[in-house]
Amino acid sequence: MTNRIMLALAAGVALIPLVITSPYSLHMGILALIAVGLASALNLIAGYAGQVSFATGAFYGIGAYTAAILATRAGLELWVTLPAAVVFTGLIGLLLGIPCLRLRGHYLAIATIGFQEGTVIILLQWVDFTRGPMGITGIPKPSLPWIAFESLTANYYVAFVLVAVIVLIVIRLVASGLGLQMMAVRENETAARSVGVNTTYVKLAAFTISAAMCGALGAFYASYIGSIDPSVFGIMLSATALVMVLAGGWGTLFGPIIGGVVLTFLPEWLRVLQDYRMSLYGAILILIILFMPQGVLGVLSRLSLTLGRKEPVEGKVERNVA
Amino acid sequence: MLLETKGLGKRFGGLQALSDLNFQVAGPEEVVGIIGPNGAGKTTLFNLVTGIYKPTVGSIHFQGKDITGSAPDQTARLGISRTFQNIRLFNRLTALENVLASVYACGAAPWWREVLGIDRGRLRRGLQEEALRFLKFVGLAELADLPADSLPYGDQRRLEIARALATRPRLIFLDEPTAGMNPQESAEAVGLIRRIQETGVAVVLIEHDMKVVMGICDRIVVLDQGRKLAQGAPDEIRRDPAVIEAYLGKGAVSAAS
Repeated sequence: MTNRIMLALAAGVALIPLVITSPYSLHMGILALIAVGLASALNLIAGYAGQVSFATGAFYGIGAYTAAILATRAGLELWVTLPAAVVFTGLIGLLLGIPCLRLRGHYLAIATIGFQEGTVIILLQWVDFTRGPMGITGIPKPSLPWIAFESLTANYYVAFVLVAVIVLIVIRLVASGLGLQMMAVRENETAARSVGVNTTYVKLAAFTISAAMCGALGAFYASYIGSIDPSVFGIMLSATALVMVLAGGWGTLFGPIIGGVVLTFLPEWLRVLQDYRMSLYGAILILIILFMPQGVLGVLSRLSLTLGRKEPVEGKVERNVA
Repeated sequence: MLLETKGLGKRFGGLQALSDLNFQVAGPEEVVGIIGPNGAGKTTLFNLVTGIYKPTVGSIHFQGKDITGSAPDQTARLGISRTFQNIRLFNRLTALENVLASVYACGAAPWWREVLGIDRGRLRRGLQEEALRFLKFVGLAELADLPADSLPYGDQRRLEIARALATRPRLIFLDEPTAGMNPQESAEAVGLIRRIQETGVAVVLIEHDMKVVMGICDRIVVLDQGRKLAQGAPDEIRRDPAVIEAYLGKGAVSAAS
């Protein structure tokens, strides 16, 4: 069921450039794809493993800068810089994971905020290496040894393939033993350890994989957009990614997809309101969090439960993992 | 000797929760009961043996191996399993997934093979069948697909036992397995404990219901204020003046004699 809907969805998303050809729409489509990727990666650690992280922007940024620096200083192309960014960002994720092992809830969130802010400060201050607030420009477009992806449509498909791979990995992880052990850690860490779950390993794996995915997306973004500076990779991005996961439905496969797409386009749709745009955006987010604590998907599955099919069991079936 | 603690002690700040405890479980044929008033150190003993606490002094040996200071997940994989006084299930996971988590954690199923899609379905199905066998053993097979927190209280206790058994332990610690149960559920739990012992798993249980303790335990250890007060067969414990005094006060001893 899940797999069929995913395949249908992927097919639909792949066909979009055949119908919609305006550069603005394609650009927004690429940003939405990246958002879906980031939210899915964050969902792995926050939604499934239960470790709330505000470091998404930092990992995205580290991936982007790794790729940008390798591309502009060493003349490497994306098919080299992207794997490099994956490895390096994954390693940083692992290193952040180690001190965070003992932290839970608010304390973990605060530690990841510290890492997020620290990363931005380094990007801003280490001018010799990162060019600081000026950022890095002239990053070449994505390419493979035999082909360069210059057009918007081509870039859309690169983003599509990258995000499809990330979502596929998340789907398989969640259905694997590691995924189940992540959920066990989320549900009750003491109990998880008591049945033999190596919580250190499981958490570090979640941190590393999630960070590596953000790094891959960052590398693509740098290459697609051509110039980057630290302002993009701030805590706003981390918070937005978290809201995408929460609003869509955390700990579900489709939640981050819905959240990523809707919250990418919502500010654009609200443009007609001009100055009031961001206020309304904020108000909508607050309403979602207040009245849909399980996200949009939670509401949908509760609706489908009350409309028959299955008896609701004390109203708690809504987030039975997809 | 399956399990042996030597001079085990645990101090929390100014509180000596457990002192100089020598505790043994001989082998898989044994059901050992641990009784004692509140604060006697019963759960502390469980938490020390399963690695949740590190002992202040003393050592713990399991199957001849020193496991003092092992982490809880290590002791679980070595073959010591447990349940909790206040039930700790993976609430939003299904009953089957609760048990499957143990099967995965204590088995050798490389997750990267599943992620790469190498005989993914077959591995999962095999492990699910294994998990289902444990649910059947405790009588919960019909409820396999329900979320754990939607189960009735008695079933939650049984699910916790199934999850603990799925680690394939040599020794299982049950912390008040019949707490909060009605007489019928309690009798079922006793039957389940007997069947666990019959499969060759040694059982240590903390229990306040004396009928349960006297009925199924081969040996009883009485703790009081962190010390071992007495140990022996149920009949000996029942008559032991020190035990009666600890439970009922000094007057009760003279009244009984």
